[in-house]
Amino acid sequence: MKKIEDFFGYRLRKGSGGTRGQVAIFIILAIVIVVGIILLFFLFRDASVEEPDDMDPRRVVRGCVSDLVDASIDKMLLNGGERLATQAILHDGEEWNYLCYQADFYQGCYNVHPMLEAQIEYEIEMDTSEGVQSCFDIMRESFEERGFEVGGGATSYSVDLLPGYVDVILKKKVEISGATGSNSFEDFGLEVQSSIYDLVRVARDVVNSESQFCHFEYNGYMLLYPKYDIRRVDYVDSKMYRLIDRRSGDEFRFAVRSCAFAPGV
Amino acid sequence: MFLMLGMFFSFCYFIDLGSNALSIVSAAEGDEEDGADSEDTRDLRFRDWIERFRGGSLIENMTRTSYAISSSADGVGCCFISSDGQKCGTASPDNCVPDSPFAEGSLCAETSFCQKGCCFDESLGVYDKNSLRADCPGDWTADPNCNMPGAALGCCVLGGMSIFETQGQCRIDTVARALGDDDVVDWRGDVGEGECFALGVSQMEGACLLGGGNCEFTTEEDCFAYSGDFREGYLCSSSSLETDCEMTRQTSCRDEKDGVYFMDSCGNYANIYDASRVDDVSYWNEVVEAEDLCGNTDFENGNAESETCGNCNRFAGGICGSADEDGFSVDVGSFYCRDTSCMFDGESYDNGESWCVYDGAIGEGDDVVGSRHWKYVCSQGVVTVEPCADYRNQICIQTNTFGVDPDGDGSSGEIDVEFRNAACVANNWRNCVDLNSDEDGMEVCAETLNCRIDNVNIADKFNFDVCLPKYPGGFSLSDERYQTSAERLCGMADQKCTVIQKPKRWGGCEYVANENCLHEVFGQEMNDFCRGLGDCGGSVNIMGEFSENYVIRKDGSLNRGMYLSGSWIERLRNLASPVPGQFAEVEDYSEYLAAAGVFGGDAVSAEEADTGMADAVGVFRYGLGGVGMALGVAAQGTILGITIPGISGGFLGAEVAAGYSAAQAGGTAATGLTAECGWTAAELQGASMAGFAGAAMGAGIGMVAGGMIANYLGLSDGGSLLMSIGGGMIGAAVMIQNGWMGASALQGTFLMPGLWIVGIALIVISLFFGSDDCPPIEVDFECKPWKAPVGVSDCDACNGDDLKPCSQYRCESLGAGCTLVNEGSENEMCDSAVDDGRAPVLRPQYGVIGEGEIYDDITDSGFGLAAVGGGCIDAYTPLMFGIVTEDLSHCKFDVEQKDFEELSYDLGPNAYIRNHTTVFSLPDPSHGVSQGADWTGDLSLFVKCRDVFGHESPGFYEIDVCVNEGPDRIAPRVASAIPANDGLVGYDVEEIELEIVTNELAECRWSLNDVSYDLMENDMVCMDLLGSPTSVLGYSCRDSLSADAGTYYIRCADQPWMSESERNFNLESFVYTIRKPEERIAIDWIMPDRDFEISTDMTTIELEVATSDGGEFHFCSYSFSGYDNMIEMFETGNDDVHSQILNRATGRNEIFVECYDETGDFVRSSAEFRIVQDSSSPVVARVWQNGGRLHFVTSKDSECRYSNERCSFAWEEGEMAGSGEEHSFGVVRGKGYYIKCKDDFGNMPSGCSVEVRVL
Repeated sequence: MKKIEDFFGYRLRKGSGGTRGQVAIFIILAIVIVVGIILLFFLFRDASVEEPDDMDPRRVVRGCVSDLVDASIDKMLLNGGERLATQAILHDGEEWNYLCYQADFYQGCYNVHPMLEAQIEYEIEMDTSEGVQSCFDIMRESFEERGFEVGGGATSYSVDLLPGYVDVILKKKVEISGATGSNSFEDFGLEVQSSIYDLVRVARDVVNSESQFCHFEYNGYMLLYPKYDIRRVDYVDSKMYRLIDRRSGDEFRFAVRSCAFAPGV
Repeated sequence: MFLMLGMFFSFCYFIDLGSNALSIVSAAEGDEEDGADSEDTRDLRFRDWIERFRGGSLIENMTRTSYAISSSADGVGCCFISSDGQKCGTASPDNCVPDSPFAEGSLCAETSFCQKGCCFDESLGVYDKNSLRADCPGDWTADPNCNMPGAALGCCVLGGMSIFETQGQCRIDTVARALGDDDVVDWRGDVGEGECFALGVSQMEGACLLGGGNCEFTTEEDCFAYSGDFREGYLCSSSSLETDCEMTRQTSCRDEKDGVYFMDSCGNYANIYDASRVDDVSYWNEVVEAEDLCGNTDFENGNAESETCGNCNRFAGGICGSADEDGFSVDVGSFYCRDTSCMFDGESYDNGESWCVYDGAIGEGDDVVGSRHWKYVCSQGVVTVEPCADYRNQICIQTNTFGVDPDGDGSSGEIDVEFRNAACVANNWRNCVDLNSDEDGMEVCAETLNCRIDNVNIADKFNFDVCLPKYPGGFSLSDERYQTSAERLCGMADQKCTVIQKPKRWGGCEYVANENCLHEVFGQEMNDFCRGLGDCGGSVNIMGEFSENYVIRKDGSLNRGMYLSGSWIERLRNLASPVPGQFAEVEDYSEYLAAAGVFGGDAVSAEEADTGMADAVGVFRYGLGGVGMALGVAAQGTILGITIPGISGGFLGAEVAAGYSAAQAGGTAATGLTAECGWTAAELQGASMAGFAGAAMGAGIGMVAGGMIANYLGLSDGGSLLMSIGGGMIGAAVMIQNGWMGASALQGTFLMPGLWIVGIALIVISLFFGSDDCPPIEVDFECKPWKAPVGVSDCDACNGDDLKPCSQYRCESLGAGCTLVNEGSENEMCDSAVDDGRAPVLRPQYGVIGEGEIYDDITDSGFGLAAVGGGCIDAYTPLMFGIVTEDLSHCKFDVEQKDFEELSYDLGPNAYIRNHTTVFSLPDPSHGVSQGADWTGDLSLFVKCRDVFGHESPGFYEIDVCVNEGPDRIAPRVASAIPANDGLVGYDVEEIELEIVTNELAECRWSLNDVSYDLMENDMVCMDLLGSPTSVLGYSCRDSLSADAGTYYIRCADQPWMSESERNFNLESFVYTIRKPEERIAIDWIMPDRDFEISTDMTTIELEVATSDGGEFHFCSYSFSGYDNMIEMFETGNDDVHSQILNRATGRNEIFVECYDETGDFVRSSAEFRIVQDSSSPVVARVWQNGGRLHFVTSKDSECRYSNERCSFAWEEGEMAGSGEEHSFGVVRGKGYYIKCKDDFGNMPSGCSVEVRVL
């Protein structure tokens, strides 16, 4: 701010009185014009961008579903692959879901959630299916408010965990009719960026090793695969694992109770 | 490998808690036998009875007990789903949900419903080990280790990166990353993980020209997929390529790479960041070879924290990281090589290095209570902690790799540690303790992992070896179930040393054996033994706070003078300080690993096995030698016992010469006396023979009389001698003076006054040398479980250290009032309990009292114990009672009112609890009285309790009990028999040593016929003394019985000191039966016993062993390295077929098997087989077309399928093309056929077996 004042001060001192006034007016006008152009640009851009998107039900639904799936993935990451932890240990105020558990002493754990990807896919579907339907409802209401008629068929919805993303397969026949005609849409599928697949794969390595050897050498694993930050906290006779994808920051949490020792004989 | 050990140890912990685990012979044992006179029983009091039976649990069956896999009580089994939702855990039927499968008495791993297997999805390449069939949504096979062809890991090359994974996963990765179509899955099964990592790094990259000035820096494969023009080795910013991509000053990290990379204006990676070459056009032209990169010689730090060079190396110490996030100033861009090394305690550690940290001294039994072993890791610049299992169930071991001495002669001085590697491994402490119950335990101990032989060498006749863990385990300080077992374990160090003494010649006593047991060394050594067992005895916690958990009694009374001195306790306190440079040594695990078949373990030949057998026999002999030595010690004690009366026997011999009844011992003394008389005669030349003979006769009579008087007066040996000589002189003088027997011939000689004066003087002097009673002194050491010191002042020491997180064990060790609160919450901490300032209030505990007793006269200050219906309690019946306190308290009692610390006995365990229970039996007072002891039928026990804050109950809580006093009308009862009644003995056993224990002192006889006591022909040897039972159950009688006879009848009679008419005899016999197996135990077969083929490099086999004959219970062990380190099979003991799941690699295997039954008989056998790998996929050898059918032949039996679409079709989606070696199916001209064949093992090519286009 001070620099601007200096700048004006300099100019004012250098020029004559009339010239100084003209310059000031030009400058003000220039500023007004530039600001106006910028405003118009943004307004125009918004209008021009929104207009066609508003008319594309896929954008509305995808945006809505993407948020849902995103939130659901976060739940899965936090709860060891379930909407709500079913068998968990309370640690540091949070529930850590067991992926491998053995109630007895000295025994290797049971993998309690085999085919974890499939389970997570199912969990995400169950967690979001109602919401997905709501997304279509929101889209329908939005179009109906604008005078369109919206017709829809059955919904086919599933998710697929894949390396680097979650593939949301969403199909529904949607027909939007208006005064100018009608348009049909069917594929509402989308991809949600997430490293959950990769983290689940690491979790499998952990569980397989823990169930067989009662141990997972996570430090060596990190040396070979530095993209993962693996942290282990031992609590009571369980181990809490935090698998962190360094790039995305996604974190998958779960607990293991394997080969616990008795406090005596 | 270490982890395997952890598993291995977990299955084979056994301990003999019920039996007297240590065979320690006190020098006094023989003496007790000899000293069966009333002298020893004179001082017996009720205290002694309490001492014998204090808190003793009445266990009749003293059998080997396996460590419980579950903390639950007996009578449990495997429950599929418990009421708290746990699957496949040990539970009681009540805690198992209705309709859930439940197998009583079984471990879950033995049940079909909790069988572990592999859950897999071949198409996804997913294989989950150790899964339940019920949990598996995919396919399931009963191989917990997933040894299947599809589960094999290989290197999946994905453009510029590679992943070590299954082929199925590789297919998905390839598709998902859009790297070509799925026909181009680059999966290499013959590449290891490390090689795979290098393979990804070495993938050649270059500029992929996409047209229109667009360019992507990628691999040739990817570029091909994009249909681009690949220019290997070129950067997109290369001016020669005329792309739109230009040089920038931006840098970035790259997935799967360590370094910092320049970025071009198109977002492509360029060369490694080198600030000096940011504007060097040539550096932006082509990929620069590694040797030309900056910092390529920084092997020490990997360019960590370099401002100018981004050639990071994660293994050397640097990896790409954000300079902005770390506040690091870098010359160009915003990334740098982040330092991955760590600083800890003034030491620098490289990334990946790990080291051990301890709470105090370790090893040799020095680990302090509450301590834990910690493994610290330097993980990418951050020190993280990996706690070893609490209660010291794991120890932290460390190995250091040192640098190479450049000169090789040590002249370079100290060689730096290059790399430290630590690991938490299972602590084998239970096994060490268990070895003390084995005959050859010490021999084995020396060879056993984590064990040490401790020589408790206190006194000449009180020294022994025990097998102790180097790192004693910890015990729960609050769980009563584990406190009970801890009490038994610590009780192994309850030992009695008997100090033998004898009267000195001139009065007083002198020690003959075990004098050192009266000195401080006794407490020191015994306490070291005690705390070496675990959290027992006088030991300190991690703060160096000492807690006294032992008792030393001298002749039944507490003797605080023998307790540990202040300096010794200070020495113990110092154990709470870590010893610099100390870490647990890495022991030789090879034997264990070989036994487990993990590696190595060359097969042991039959000859070697025989040698092992011989060794075992040698050990057995050594063991017997040890027993023999012990018996020798006892015998020596007996000899000492005989020597002392032998001295007086010499004097009694004079009596014999004087006309008393003859005895052999007397002859010696008489001979001596004759010699002495001969010398006297020589002095008296010239006197008449008659006078001399008379004087000699008088002297003899006088000596005998003097000896008798000395004996009557209880003079010492010296005093007796003086008295005898004096008496002899007086006798001679009397004879001479009176002229008897012709002694008048000596009258008037100089002898007369001399004899009188000297004789009288000697007699008077002798009276000053009285004899002392020198009974054996019994010194007892009682070892109790450790309990925390009272108070709460140190609780907070558990909190606040992230690198040493608090735990329940750690917290509770810091003070009796410390508890872990807010468990599981973010506010979990070790906190002090709230002190209400009140002293414990005592009340009787209902529900524990025996059926025949009631609480009586209950007041605030105590209660009475009476028989149901009133009156006193019968003698020799177990008396169980207890008190309760509202607050956690430690309660003690005694038969006298004393300070709390001085009270002799714990009421319940040595721990802070609410329910305090004890049990003991009381004798018939009349028995003691008849033996001269001061016993009465009324007894008061004075109880005091102290809570965790040190508040003591005011006054004494008095428990009054009276015992029915004679006449005794109840015959003795046999409480137990060893070997157990109706038990089996070994096939070759000819004779057994039977020990029966009666509830009261008795004499017993046996016969092959059920006749009355009088008519029984065989007396048993019953050496116990009243008040000194050798068994916790009572008095012991022994005899040798032939193992061939089936049934023996035993009857006993009580009160051996009474006349026949006053004693009580068993009217019914105790029937004791010995059984012998018809045949010795045998191994019928071992499976596998022949070669077999598999398709993977590892396979899961089920080792099965069938046994027959022998006893009722068979147990089998196996090993891959011979018979020295046998591992008990998992499923054994319940059936005649024993099994064990093993994960084996291909190659030759020899499995050694040893089986034994409950009699101790054993048998050995081995099986040899080879596991052959067949991993080759079927090959199509010939293809031809005949009309509308395609025919082809495969190299081996296989099943084939085809697809018309692509080569990598999913197997289950393919059309059947036949099975066997010859295949055919109908085809359509002009169509392409992609054929894939799979053999019986599942071997299948990643692509097609053959592609055919039908013309």
